[in-house]
Amino acid sequence: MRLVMITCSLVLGVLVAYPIIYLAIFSLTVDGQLSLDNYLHMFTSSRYAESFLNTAVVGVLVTLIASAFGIFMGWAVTRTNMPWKQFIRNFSFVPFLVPSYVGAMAYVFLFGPRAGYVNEGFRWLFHTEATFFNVFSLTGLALVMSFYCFPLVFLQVTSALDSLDPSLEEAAQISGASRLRTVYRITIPIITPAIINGAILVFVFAIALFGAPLIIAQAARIWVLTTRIFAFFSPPPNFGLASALSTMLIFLVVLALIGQQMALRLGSGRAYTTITGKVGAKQVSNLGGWRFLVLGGCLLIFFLAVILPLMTMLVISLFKIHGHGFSSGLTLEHYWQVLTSKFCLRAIKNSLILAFGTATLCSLIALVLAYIEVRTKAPGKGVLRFLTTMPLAIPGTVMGVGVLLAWSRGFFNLYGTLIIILIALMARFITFGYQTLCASLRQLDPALEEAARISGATWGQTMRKIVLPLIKDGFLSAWILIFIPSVGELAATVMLFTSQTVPVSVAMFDSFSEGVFQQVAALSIFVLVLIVLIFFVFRRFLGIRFAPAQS
Amino acid sequence: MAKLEVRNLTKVFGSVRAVDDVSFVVNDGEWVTLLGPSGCGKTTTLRLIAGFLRPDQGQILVNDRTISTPEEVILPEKRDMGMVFQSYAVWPHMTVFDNVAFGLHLRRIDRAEIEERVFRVLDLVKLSGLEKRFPGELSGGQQQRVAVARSLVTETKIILFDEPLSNLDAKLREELRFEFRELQSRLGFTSIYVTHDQAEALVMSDRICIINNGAIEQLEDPLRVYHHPRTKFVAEFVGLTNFIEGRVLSLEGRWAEVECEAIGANLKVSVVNPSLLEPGAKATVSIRPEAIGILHQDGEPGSTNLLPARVTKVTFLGHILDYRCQVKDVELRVQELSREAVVTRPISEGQDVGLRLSPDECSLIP
Repeated sequence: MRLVMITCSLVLGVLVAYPIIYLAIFSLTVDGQLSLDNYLHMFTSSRYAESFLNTAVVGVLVTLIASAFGIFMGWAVTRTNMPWKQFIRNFSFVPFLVPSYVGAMAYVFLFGPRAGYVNEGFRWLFHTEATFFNVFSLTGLALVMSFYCFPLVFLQVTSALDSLDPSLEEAAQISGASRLRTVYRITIPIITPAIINGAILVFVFAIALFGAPLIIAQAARIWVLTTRIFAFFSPPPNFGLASALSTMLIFLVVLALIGQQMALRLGSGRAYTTITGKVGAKQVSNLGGWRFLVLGGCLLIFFLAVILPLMTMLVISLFKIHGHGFSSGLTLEHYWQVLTSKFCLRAIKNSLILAFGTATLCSLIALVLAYIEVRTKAPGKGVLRFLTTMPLAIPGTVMGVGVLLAWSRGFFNLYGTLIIILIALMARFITFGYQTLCASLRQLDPALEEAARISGATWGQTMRKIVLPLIKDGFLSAWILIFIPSVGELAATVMLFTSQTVPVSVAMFDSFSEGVFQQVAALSIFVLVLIVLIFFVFRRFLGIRFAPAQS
Repeated sequence: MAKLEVRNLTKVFGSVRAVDDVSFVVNDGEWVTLLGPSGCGKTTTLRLIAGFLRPDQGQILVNDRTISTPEEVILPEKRDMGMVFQSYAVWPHMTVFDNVAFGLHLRRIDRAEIEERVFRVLDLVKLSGLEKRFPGELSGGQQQRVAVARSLVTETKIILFDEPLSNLDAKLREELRFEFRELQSRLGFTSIYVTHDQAEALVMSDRICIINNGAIEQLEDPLRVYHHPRTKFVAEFVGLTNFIEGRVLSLEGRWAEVECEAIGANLKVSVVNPSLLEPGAKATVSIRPEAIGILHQDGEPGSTNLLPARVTKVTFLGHILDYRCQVKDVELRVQELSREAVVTRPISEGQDVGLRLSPDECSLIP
């Protein structure tokens, strides 16, 4: 038992800590000597200052918009008599299933200033040369990213409102406060920490995002930190600056997360926590006829975030000729092309191998790590916990850079193999498995294992016959939670791939850059169908309900 | 044969001595209950015996063979003991049959014998016919019986019980108390039972081990624990009692005369261990409410241990009448069967009465 635990701990350290430490050290060296040159260069150049500014502005914009969406939908789902509330709740995390760059590409197809379908249609309809909406702008980018991120706030808000003790509001009303005043003076202040929590999560997510900015901001000549870092890897590569910027980005994320911890602490000091487990009649506002309007608003957000991009991709993949729309006819030939193209097939194969490998290995390692955390009093537990949750603060781009630098030189040169990508994916996503399995193990009565031990079972037998069967659901949940983002991951893989190890995300991006739009669309539908199928098969098979892990 | 011995057992958590130099012997076939309030160390002691915890000092021996020391602890799965948990710990993903058969499978016993033994044990605990059910379909009491069956089927000689009846309702608790004790008498295993419920301890035990703050206060059969408590804690924890402080005046055989200023009289009391006391020493007289006779004022004056008192409160508790009586500076609690009051004249609040404290039933605690 001890051997297994030590092995997994070592693997974790190598996986997560090594690339980041290597990165930090690398950023401080120039030509093998300790130096701050990289940082100096970075701070004095206006280009990079611009990237910082853009990143910050986008981050704030996305936070504001996503929070607005999230709060609105959260309120609608928990505190009104809007119809279809359960439906909205169940599908609230769907935006996460769709990689951000797919949504971005769809929006480019629709709202590209010159060839976007909506803009063209607008021009044709109103006989004008104006552009209805140019997605290649800061606002465009912020909107697209918000559609992807708002579930983070939504989940926090619904969770807080769901567990809000109704007697707190009832006490206010008994004291004479009107409905509106109760909401203003009681409800909102109490759920403010949850909103702030969600907002900061969105901010962190937004500044670390790569896919959407890559697709949209490039054409608009808007550089954010992640895309700037990526740019350093096109020839001539400048690893030093790349690593310096990466370290700065981590720094920003950590600052934001510290801010979050401080906000939470301030909040709990004033006793904001309200999880009393009391299930009382919630104060549901009767909106009368307005409730359909509210439903319309929620559905609109949902439509723009999920349905529209997917429909766009689907439709485009069926057009005979891109640009001529329906007039050129519909066809399945692009799907046929995807299925017969060696390039596409290899990409799909690579992604599946990577995703299956990552999910399985991470789940197993996470299980051992979660067991250490929940069931043992091993020394150094805190370090393990830190290492497992740290990747949440590390943007995919940065992880890619770190893994690239750490594993492609000297003795352990893994560059060009699938393994190096596997390492990056595992480091990024092991935390999802860990959180899920910790929760599962916590729900398991330790007496169940003790009863097995006293009946004569060794630790190994107890794990196999008692623990694993009982956390089966949690294990499979963890597996899916890792599998899905692994299939479509772009930020790290784009640094680590070679022609042999192209994954499907890079294939899509390549095709997009080359203008082979139908292939992109067909590929993306293919991948999405795959993801959705696996997701719903698992879900139906297990009958489980789960939400993305929250940091 | 299954004799368990605990020697100088100590377990420390941080700065708390959860188990403090505890020593006792449980003989073959004996039922010993560890009784005490929450946090007294009884569960920790049990888990040390089971092998889930490592002692900081001391030893645990089974049949004179060491199984636990600070250096080495034989793993729980190798100790051949059974354990019944407070939360039942029946595995929800296995049927009743599989739950009970688990230990036998591990011991590689052949299928026919497993079946025979499982069915026999299920019959013993009155669960025949429920083999194919899952724990989720059973009541709390039934689940607990499954847990007991699981411990019995491997025919271990020592079975540990960790407050197994705490989660059940009162009626069921009473029923199962008798059933468990009966099983033990019939099958003859050695039993160590942890509880905070004194009624359970009194009903089921051959000997009760009262534990407080990690140390043993008294280890004796229920009768002696009740009638001759050795410490104030035991006197108060098991049943109700009255304490009267005093000073020993003289000792004579198993009797002592104690001067009690608080009640303004001398009491003649019985002494269990005269060697622990000497004239002039401070001591406490303990007498149970039901052992004090309450008489109307016109009782026989001048008798030994007859105190004048005034009744301050009368409470009707069903089959018992509870009186609070003020004797000079001390309030004594007296209880008698309510039907006795029916026979004589009823006593009312404010009435002057005489309290007779039988010397035999007064314990002297150093």
